[in-house]
Amino acid sequence: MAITIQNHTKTIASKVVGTFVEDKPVLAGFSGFFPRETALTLQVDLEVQRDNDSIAVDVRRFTEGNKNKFSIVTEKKFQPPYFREEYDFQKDEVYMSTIALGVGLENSDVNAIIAQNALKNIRKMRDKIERAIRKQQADVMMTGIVELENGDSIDYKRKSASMVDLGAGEYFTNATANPLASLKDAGTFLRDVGASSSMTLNMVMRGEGLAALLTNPKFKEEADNRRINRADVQSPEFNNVTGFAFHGQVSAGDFNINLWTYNQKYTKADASTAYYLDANKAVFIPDDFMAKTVFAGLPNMVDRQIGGQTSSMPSVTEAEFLLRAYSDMKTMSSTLEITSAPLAMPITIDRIYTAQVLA
Amino acid sequence: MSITATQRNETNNQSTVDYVRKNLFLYGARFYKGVLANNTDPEASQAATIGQLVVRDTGNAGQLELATADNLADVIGITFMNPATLADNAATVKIDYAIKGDIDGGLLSLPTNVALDTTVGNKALRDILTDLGFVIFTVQEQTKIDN
Repeated sequence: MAITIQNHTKTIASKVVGTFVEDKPVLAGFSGFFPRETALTLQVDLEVQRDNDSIAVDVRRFTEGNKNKFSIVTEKKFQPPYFREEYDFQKDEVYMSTIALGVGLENSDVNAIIAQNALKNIRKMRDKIERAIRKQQADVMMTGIVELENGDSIDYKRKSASMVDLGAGEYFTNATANPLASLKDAGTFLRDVGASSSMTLNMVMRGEGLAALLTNPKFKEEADNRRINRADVQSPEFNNVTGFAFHGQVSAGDFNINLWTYNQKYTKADASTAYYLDANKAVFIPDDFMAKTVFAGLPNMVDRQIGGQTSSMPSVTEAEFLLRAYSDMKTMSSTLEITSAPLAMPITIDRIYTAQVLA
Repeated sequence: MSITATQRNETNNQSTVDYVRKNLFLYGARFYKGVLANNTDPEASQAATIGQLVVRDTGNAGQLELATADNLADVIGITFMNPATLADNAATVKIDYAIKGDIDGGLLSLPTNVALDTTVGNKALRDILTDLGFVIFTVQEQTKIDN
């Protein structure tokens, strides 16, 4: 006899022997390069003073010295995007499957379960925003433009020389390509233009880029050299906090380059799957790269005393995330929302190098 | 001693402003007070600002006017004032003007087609200013505007 829909009423015909609520953790990704800071303001600023890298010229003793001025300062102002995710209690699965079906009404823990379930869903909504932050960080690494849906994308004006296409002849898949020369070019840009003093670079790419690198004849030739040890590629070491996998280190020119892959993905609003990092790109980040994830002030309603009367008034809150709850006593509906205004903000904008390494 | 601000990259979510500070009088400057008149070209309004050369207004005792390419030999000082627009018909404004001191030669606002090496008689303009008591320096900028 077929199982009828009535059999799904578990108190009659079945026992739940296990549950699985899929929870996809948001790994840190590039977050280690973007430490967090909160602000109480709508906008956040970055003050920049560039250096001309000048050399002193000697002068004759007891005559005039060389006059210097430091007169140019640039202020960059940004308005971070605003995220607002809402959760309505009446759509709560616990509420629907347990309370609405009349099961467990005598169970004193049921209200706690509702609250716990709401908390779990709030955390999932927070994870959505965390993914948006990871996307912003990856945007900075790949193009220098944080893409917004309901605002003007924020362009950090990376130099075009920091985002290069190696070209068909130097794509890692090309048998005559010399990837180590391309890696050296990355280090040279970061040192000469980015003023990085780090000799260790982190090369972060997708699995496709690594596979092409490891099978490149010139790279293999370098790695196979038994008398000169400038490449040490090992089994991957996956870091389950960052989502990066470490594959070893190679040397190119003056630079030691840590090889990482980053293959984390997310689901876009249109339900399609996307990766934070493009499959055909590699980003190079020196150890002295500086950036922040800044959280701007969040609009809020706060109870204040005015003339002896308590009134709810608009205010601003300094926080990474703000949880607000509001309810309608008549309809017994209640909503929780989580808001955030994050922006991945590079400080040393010229200390990122992006190369298209595959077609 | 002025600050200019130039905005770029302005959108709904970002804006960049480049601030440039100008310090014309570097060291040991001394000043007189004066009245600057728009007699150089009475038919038109005239923009006056810090770092311009002034000469005596021979038609109005006690007043000054901006130097032109034709009277550089008569320069007596360098303006130190807030930027102002002098209307036509001999409008005046109270100013201070420097008569000596170390200056940043790159920040002077010289008359049209005039440079520090412009010949004035048997001298260059810079020699005229040196005779007044100004020591003209080339000050090297150590900062720059970038992306």
